[in-house]
Amino acid sequence: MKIDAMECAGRLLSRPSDAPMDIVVDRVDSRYENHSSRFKLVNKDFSRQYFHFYAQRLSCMKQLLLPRVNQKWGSDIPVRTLADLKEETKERCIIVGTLFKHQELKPSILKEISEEHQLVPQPQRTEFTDDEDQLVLEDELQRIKLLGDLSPHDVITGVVCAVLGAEHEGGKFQVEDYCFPTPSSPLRSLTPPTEDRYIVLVSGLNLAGSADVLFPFELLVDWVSGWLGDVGEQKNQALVSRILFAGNCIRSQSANRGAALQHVSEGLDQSSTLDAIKLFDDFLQQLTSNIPVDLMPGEFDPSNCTLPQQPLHCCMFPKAAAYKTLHSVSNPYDFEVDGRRIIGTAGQPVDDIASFSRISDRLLILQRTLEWGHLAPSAPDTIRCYPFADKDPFILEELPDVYFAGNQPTFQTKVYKGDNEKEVRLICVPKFCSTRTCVVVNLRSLECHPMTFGDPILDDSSEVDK
Amino acid sequence: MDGSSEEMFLQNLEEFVLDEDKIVTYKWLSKTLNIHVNQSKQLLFAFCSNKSRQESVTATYLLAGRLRSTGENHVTVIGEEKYLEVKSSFDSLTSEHVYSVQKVRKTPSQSILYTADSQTVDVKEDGITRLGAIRCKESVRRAAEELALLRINVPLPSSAPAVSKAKQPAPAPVKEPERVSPKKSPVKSDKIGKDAAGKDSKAKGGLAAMFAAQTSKASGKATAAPAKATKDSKQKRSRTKDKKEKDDPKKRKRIVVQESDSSDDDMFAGEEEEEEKAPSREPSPVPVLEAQALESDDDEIVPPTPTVESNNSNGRRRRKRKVTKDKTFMDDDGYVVTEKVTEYESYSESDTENTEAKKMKEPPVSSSNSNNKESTSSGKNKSEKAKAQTKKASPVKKSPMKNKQQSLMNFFKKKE
Repeated sequence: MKIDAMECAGRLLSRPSDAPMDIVVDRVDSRYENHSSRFKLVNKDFSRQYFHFYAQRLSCMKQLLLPRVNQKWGSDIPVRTLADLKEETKERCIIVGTLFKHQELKPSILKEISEEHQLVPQPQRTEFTDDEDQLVLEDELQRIKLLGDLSPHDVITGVVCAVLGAEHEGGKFQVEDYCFPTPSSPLRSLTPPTEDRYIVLVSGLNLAGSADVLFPFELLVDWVSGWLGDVGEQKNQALVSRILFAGNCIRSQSANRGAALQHVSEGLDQSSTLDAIKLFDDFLQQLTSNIPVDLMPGEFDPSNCTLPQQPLHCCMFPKAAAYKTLHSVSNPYDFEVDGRRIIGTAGQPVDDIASFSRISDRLLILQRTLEWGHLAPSAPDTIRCYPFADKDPFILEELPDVYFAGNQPTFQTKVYKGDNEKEVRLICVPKFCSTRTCVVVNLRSLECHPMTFGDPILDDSSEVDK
Repeated sequence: MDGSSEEMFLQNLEEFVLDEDKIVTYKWLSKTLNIHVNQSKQLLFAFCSNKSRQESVTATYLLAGRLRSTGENHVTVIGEEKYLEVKSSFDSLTSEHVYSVQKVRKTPSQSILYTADSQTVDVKEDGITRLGAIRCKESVRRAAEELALLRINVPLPSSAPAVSKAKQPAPAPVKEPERVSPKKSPVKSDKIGKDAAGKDSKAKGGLAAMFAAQTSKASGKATAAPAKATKDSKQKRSRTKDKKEKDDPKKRKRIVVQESDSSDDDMFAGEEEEEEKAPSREPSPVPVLEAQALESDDDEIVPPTPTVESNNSNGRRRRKRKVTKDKTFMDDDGYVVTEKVTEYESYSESDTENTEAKKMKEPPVSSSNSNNKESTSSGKNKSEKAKAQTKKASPVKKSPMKNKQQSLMNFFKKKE
């Protein structure tokens, strides 16, 4: 891919009068469309409860699920509601409902209050699974305990699911098989680019945290904006059509992470946040003067804490926002660039599922959310979420081309094959603050590779300094 | 680049590195000499490959390519002494050039390199794009109207007070309008020659203390002074048709809020001029906000702005005071916007008996104030002005509030 670049390496180790190298390349044009309008909150009404949200999710996903059920088990088996079940007949049937996982260890505000009186400090947890966890299926009216094939550790509360089986003694449902509303390939086919085009994904800069990240990030910014490197490298960089910051640019951890899980409001360290925003504005300015930038808020950024997170206000970045190329976008973010549909979050749903299920591999979690057809199934149960009444914007109805989650511990990627051999590139974008790594995605081939900056190697030499 | 300009640039470079003992990165050099980044990389190479200098300078190199060990793409900056070792750990290289040159024998650490880079001379913003190797057609500046729509209410300073402390010129600290005032108050009170000493200590006590010290006319005027300065410099700037200012109608609104009038224009004229000349006079957006927040906190207790007095024919003084209030509403995008709105409300002297007793000793402030005010606020923000006027025209509206307060005071009296 970068053969061109390799030939050019070292050419700048020459006298300026020998060979003129002051090239200027035009950055590629790109077609861009933002499809995130469904994540925008217009009227904020927090007086509602979450019932409508779940009801909307179930009714909407049931429509998506029924064709899949027919496809999988044929049309002979009747689809029932829980109210229709009769224990005597033990009829084999299909039930569609929302899974609820009963978890003893799940943090609960009521429990916290009741235990407060005994003055026993509760241990802080990051894992909330237990062997006693039980699965319950809820349809529009009733709920039933599930037995059998479906392990509670592999799913999460909020997933809509069709189960095949029969009612068992004691009002429990014996599950033979199950089916998730995995989205199908899009009806409208997009035209991917015929030449190499790239986008760069970065997440978790944590500028308010540590100063160590500054130099690697400067290298990244210089690299993307065509300052760094040889002529060949610069020509390659001109093919990068966008850079996307997938959340937590300002900070990537709360001062008190435990408190956040205990539903206690946390005080923010204002001054360090403000400094980091100004710093980020300067970096952004260099980028926006050179490349379209998408900026998503993350879990710990100064945005709202409920999903969907609203775009960071342009006022926060007065210098960068002077350019039209700064796109402050929502989290989750759904967009189309050069004929590729790209959807992703700043990573909260994946992190949340990791602590409430026993799927430990982040990439697998990402794949599961795609199979479950929902960006954030555990919202509003364990992720704070806006109480939508008339829609569930997190439902994935079509397979995207690229599906990413930001702020993951390591870089991971794979290709997921959906129906009709539709390929989806799954990417766990690593935290830049700990890995110094960004991800470069080729929009033509959907290949992607990580790119690291700064170095452990240089850290050695700084030790020599001492 | 021809040979002669190369020689000239190399001489420049020699001065930077050897005489000024700078860590010269390619980026800094490019911005300083206003040359293309690749030329600056070549210059650095030419500089450090010169035999006569090899003893006195060291270089760091940038290497980019695929690592042999992990197969990952990597970009790194490495010192001379480890250069070959690290280079051999790369499978294939996509980039290799001099990153920086410095006099120090030891290779600077990453953070030092970063600091060296961030001490950049301020290049005009179009310069940043011109010097790099990639040009982006999509990167166009937003039009002023569009910026206004985005509600960007801070100017776009070319020299940000923000980033690193190194970037900030040391002798010119950012002055906030409010913070200036304590320094000024002693001068002021000396000139008046009345109750200076006692109030001074109070006035110096900080912002909150200063507002609390409204009992004194002197300190009250002192409060007015900085705001005045802001206003004046403001006007001056707008006269020079600074483009940034024009982009920015919202900012003006903010200033108007703080603006107040006093009769001592001339007294401060000189000082204001000086302040104006200070390079980073422009207050950074955040301090202003903070100052205002503080101000609004005080609203409940004491009005932050001085009072406007007028002697009525019946001898009983009716006054109007300017109050800054927060007005919160939700805009089209669903953002909650809080605006400062200046309003006038009238109150009678009995409200503030304590204040009164002291103020009586002082000569009453001339009534030309009100005219003065009209002229100063003209051309700032019409809606603000209109609001102020309507409030002015109907002071009666405020009377219920006045009565309430009176009765409250009576209550305290009886208690005594």
